Amino acid sequence: MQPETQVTGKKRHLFFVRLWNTTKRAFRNPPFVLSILLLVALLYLVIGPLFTMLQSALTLHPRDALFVRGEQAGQFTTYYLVRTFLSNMRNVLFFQPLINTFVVIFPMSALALVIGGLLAWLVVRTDLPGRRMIAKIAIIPYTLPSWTLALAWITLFKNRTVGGSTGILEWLGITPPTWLSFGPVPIIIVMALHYYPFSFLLIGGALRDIDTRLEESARVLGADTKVIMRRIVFALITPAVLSSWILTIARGVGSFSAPALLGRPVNFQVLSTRLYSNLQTGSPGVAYLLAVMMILLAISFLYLNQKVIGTRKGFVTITGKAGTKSIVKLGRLTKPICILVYAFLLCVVVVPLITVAIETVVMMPGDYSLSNFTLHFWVGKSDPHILSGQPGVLRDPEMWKALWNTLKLGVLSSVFCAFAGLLIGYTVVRLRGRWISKVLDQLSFLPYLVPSIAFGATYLSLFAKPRLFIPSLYGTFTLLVIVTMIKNLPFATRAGISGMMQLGHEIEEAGIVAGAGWSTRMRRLILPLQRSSLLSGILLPMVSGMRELSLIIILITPGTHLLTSLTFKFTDYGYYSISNALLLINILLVLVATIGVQKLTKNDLSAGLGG
Amino acid sequence: MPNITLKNVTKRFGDVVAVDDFSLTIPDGSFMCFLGPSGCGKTTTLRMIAGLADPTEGEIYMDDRLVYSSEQAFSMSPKDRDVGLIFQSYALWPHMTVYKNIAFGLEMEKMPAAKIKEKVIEIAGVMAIGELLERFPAELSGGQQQRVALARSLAPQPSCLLMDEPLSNLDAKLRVDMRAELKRIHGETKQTIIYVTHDQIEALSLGTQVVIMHQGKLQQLDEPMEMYKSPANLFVGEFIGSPRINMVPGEIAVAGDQFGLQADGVFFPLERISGVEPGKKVTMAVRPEDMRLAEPEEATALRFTTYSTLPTGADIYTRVYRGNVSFTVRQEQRTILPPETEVGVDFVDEGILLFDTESEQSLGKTSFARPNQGT
Repeated sequence: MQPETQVTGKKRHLFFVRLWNTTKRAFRNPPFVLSILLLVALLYLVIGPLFTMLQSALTLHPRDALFVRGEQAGQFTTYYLVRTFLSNMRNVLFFQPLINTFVVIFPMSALALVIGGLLAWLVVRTDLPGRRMIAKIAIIPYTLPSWTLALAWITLFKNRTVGGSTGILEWLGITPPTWLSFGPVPIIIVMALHYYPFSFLLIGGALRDIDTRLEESARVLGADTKVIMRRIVFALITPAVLSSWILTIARGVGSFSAPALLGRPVNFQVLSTRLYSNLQTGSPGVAYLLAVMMILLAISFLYLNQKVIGTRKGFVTITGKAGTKSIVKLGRLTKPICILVYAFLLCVVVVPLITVAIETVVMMPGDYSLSNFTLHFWVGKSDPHILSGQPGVLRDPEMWKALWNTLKLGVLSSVFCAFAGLLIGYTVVRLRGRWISKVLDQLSFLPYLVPSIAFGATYLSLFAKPRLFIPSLYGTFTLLVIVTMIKNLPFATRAGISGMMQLGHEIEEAGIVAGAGWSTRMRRLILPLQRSSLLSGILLPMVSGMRELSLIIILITPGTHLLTSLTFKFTDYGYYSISNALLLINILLVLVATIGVQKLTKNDLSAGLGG
Repeated sequence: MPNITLKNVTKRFGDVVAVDDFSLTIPDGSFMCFLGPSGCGKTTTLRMIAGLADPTEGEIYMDDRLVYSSEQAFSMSPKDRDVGLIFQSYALWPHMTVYKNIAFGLEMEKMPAAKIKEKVIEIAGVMAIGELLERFPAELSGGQQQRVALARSLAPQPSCLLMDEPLSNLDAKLRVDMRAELKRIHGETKQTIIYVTHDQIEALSLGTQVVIMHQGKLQQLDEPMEMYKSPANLFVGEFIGSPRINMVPGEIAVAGDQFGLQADGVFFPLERISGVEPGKKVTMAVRPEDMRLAEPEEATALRFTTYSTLPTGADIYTRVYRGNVSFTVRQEQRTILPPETEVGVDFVDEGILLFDTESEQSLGKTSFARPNQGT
């Protein structure tokens, strides 16, 4: 029946028969073909930028060719290496920012850990009233743009030292000391308040998912709740605690907005702000080297994390079984703790938002009396006497364009990201055990290790000029979509892999035996069953795409402004009323999008915490 | 409908040999059971026949149609092999109704909608699930899901039906009912069925033929009762039968002029068996029902002491020992003997199997040489 079956004997024939049959089988096995395509795409979009960045850091820039004797533009050079690490500029360019980075991230992560861990314990393991609501409110700071708190801080604490308008406290007659207005202290506090939900979710999840049989065994052996907490529960979540601490540190390395807003006015530079200003002043070689250092730093922390908990993923996977959790009764402490927790949430969620809102209606900066309130910065027409004729945000076409861009970026990048994650998850699970599965898995995880601003820098180096048949994408909206999508790929891939693992292979094999081709299987069996994991995989990348600044700040051009970058621009100008108004619009957008997706997918970040 | 032939099929996963040089012909219309402990390669073999896994070496034919050849790197796609497959988990598509699940395979054959409907209703009638067509799999009981899975595989009328432990997710009672049903379906349709199971009772009661596999190798291919009566080697003897066959290792000896087996402290006089010479290390194996308890004074019996008694309802099994030799005996009397009672033990004629201890292969059957009848 098949012609190839009748071939016997002749070896020469056999070779061609084998070749023909092997090729046919390869193409009948789409995971294999798909894996090759994905491999090429990931090599280009993940490894490619890292490579071109290193290359750019070791190649003489035309602008610098004037200063460097005996070397020509476009040739190999150690000029940037020497300048960054050895020259008398080394302290300004590298070592001071490095020290400052450490000064910020260690206390910041410790503070975030304490806040997040305490809240998680209170919500999951005590009888605190209103736990479910606390869990929902507690994660809000993480869904807000990271500079919300920084802007609120400026509005509250800005003092007279750096010039320009002053904050609410000054208006009330209290002059805050400069160390409280700007520099490391406010940066640490503001970042800790932004990052603590991360520890909250991780530790809360671990506390919730502990196998209750372990606790029950201890109880049967005569241990009381206190002993169970100390000897069983806390011991079991130690890896989660350490892990959330290290992951917060690693994230802190790449954080840009808080140091930019609160550090730069007093010339307190960390690696990320130094990287940014080097790009602004046209010194990409040095900036790229700083990016490399940030990547190495982040990777070493994440490596440490892997050593500590023995898995790269950072999740404590203890399968939860229904049983009796040990719940600590707070008793007489209930009231004071309640007041403390509610006051805290008030301070980190409500107060900043109100502060930001107040700043948008103040006509003369620094004067917070009612008579000075105005809606000009929202709806006012352009007036040459106010902020050089900057119209109210709702009348500003640039704002509407940025709003549209932000929405587009969030939706497009997250949808592409979720689909890519699903496809990668599919191939990784189907080809499990082969080298290509492992390579795809790890390549797609790599962007997680690269701090956001450094990741942006690598994309700048790859797409600044045309390469091969791919045009220079710098300055296009497409580039923003690609970089956001790839940066979020690790989360989408994890979701895709676990979704496919849960699905198992028999569901698809039943389709194979029934005679369905690959596209039919995908369309009618896999996609419908992965729909919910696909939709919930969209939520996180979408929210982060809509409030992302560090990642895209160096790829933004005037034509592709987003709400975030526009906010940053006006803050830089000192137009705080405008930037705060933009921030509020941005928050509103994120909020609406989050609620929309949650309604659509019935997915909730804080699900299950607080019973 | 085809004979399915596997020729020297080997499957390796890295260094692990899952199936080792396996050759077998499955005749048309047979109900072939692959039986073996988990990890013996039976499911892998099934998947290779279905085309879901490719052998590392060897050839597979369906009649004279080549469906796999390692030499030619040829593998026919599963859809062209015309097989149906039932998974242990059933793998029903949870987002489709029962109707759509059953209709899926027919749609893939591009059958017109009206005809599909007719066929689905027909097969649903046969499987007694006609009431459930609009339900989703999650709304069905385990037994109903099993029937739907069966209907889904049978609907396209495959020339061969492959089943991978299809009943192991059902509770004990349902399992017995479904076994009867499967046997009836096979009797009516004469459909070739290859059935993978680790449950010996299932294999013996269902199969027209049983293949026992161990460590990737075929151990024995036989009809179920033959397999039970004449196991080809120690593994098969031990694997089949519950309670397990009694095994006593020892050495062939001649005491006085009596041929027999010298075990650890006990001499078992046996009828001579050709090719088994004194000094040979052999293992004697006796099924519990091929033994009986006798009065301790009975001259023909060997003297043992009871250890414990295990009534199972229909039968009473008594464990007896003497020195380091012990047996489980199915008791004919319905009295429960207290521990440490003296009893006699006798053997049914031709009930003693001898195996070469070293090669583990069968040496044949023999009988107990009762002392007063001895020559």
